[in-house]
Amino acid sequence: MGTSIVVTSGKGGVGKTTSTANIGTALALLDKKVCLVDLDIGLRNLDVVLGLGNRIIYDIVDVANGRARINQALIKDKRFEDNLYLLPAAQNTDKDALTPEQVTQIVDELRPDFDFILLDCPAGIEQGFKNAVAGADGAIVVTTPEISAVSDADRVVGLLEEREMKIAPRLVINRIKKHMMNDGDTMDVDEITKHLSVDLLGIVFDDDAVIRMSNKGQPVALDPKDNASKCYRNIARRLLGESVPLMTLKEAKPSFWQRLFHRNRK
Amino acid sequence: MSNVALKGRKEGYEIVMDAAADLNTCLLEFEQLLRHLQSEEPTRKEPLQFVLATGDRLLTADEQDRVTKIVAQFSQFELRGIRSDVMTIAAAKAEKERDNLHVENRVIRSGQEIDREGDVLFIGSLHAGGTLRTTGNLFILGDVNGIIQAGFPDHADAVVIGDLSHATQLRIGDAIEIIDPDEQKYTNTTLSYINELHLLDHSDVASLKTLKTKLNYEMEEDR
Repeated sequence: MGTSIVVTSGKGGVGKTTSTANIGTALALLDKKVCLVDLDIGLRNLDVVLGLGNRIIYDIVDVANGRARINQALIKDKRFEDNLYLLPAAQNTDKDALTPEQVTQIVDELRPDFDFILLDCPAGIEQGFKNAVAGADGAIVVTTPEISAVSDADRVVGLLEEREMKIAPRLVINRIKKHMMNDGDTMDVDEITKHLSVDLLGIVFDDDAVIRMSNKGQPVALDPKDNASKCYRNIARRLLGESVPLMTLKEAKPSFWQRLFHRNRK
Repeated sequence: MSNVALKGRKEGYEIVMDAAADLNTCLLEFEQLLRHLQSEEPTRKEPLQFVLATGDRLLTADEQDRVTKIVAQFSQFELRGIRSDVMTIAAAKAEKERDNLHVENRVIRSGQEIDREGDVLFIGSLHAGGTLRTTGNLFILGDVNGIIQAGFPDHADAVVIGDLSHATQLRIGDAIEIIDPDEQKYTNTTLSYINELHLLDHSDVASLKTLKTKLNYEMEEDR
């Protein structure tokens, strides 16, 4: 039986969808069967990040309303043998098209066939959030080291704790700019974790490759050399129960020649 | 007429009702007693005030209604209250809730509001955007970044003791202070209270004895 985990944040634009796609990809690379469920009805984009946008025929609302069977709506990611599937969101309706009961039912239907079901939650704490949380055994709360995102994450953790889920919520701090954190311009990892008093699942460095790869429809986690990719892969391993140390925040000092020839790089 | 008797006490008149006797009989005798007293002194102008003491009997709302209706028949009497030596378990629990010191060790997050009755010792963590509110006093040892409210909704006697330097707002009763994060006037022994001009003021716990004599007396009485 699969575990369902909602990826949520409260605030928009902190990287819920990117994190869902990449954690899903990383789990699939570790040979787990993963289903990603896009619950951002009306503003779907998980399919685009995965490069599967052109293959949608049926969506989750079709499944909920009985217009399609779940197997017809599931899209298989051909880059992975049989490990990664996507259940896309509907585009031309809104969050009220689904009820928490319907989401729970769909997730329960997926459980026997998958190890992990990741639910991509829309921003906000309204109907879409309630739908997503209803189907989840646990939660990953995504935040960035900005006070606005941390404050919303705090609110969301509060709402999640009230629901008393099977697995306590865990935190991912996304888009960490090493130099800003080292200079003390943003809250540091310990500060954020202590402030939110939840367990830290992982940190992800800010990396241009994330956007570059997303734009090509390829999750960055596919690239074994990239820094952000390593972060996502570590998160996936921690989800499987391994204890993996956090990646260092230390910046590599540029060598003399680098400084000489890349003077204006930043 | 042995079940109901009029007694004069230091505080005023009291009509005592035997708790062991049947209530219907008692009420009948009560009415007879009032009629008898009225006939003895028909020219009395000021109504005679009395308290009905029911001993180990607790009257229900309906029964209290019956008593007030009986008294209303007589213009010369005025019921000041019904006193009983016993109380319901629910009322006792509510009183305990109100009078006890509650230890609160939760994490109160943004958007959450915790409402308590009575005095609260806070050893948890109050995040920005969260609210901790109680009807009594607040003693703070934990981490406070949100809104603290003592003496809710309008008990100006309440005090807050503890470090509020990171809190966003302090409210006591209906007075509000927006805390300036740059002003470091709070320590662990800061006493916040409402002064005689009904303004929020700060001092040290050592001055609790002189500033809030009544509160201090109550605390000492508990010991």
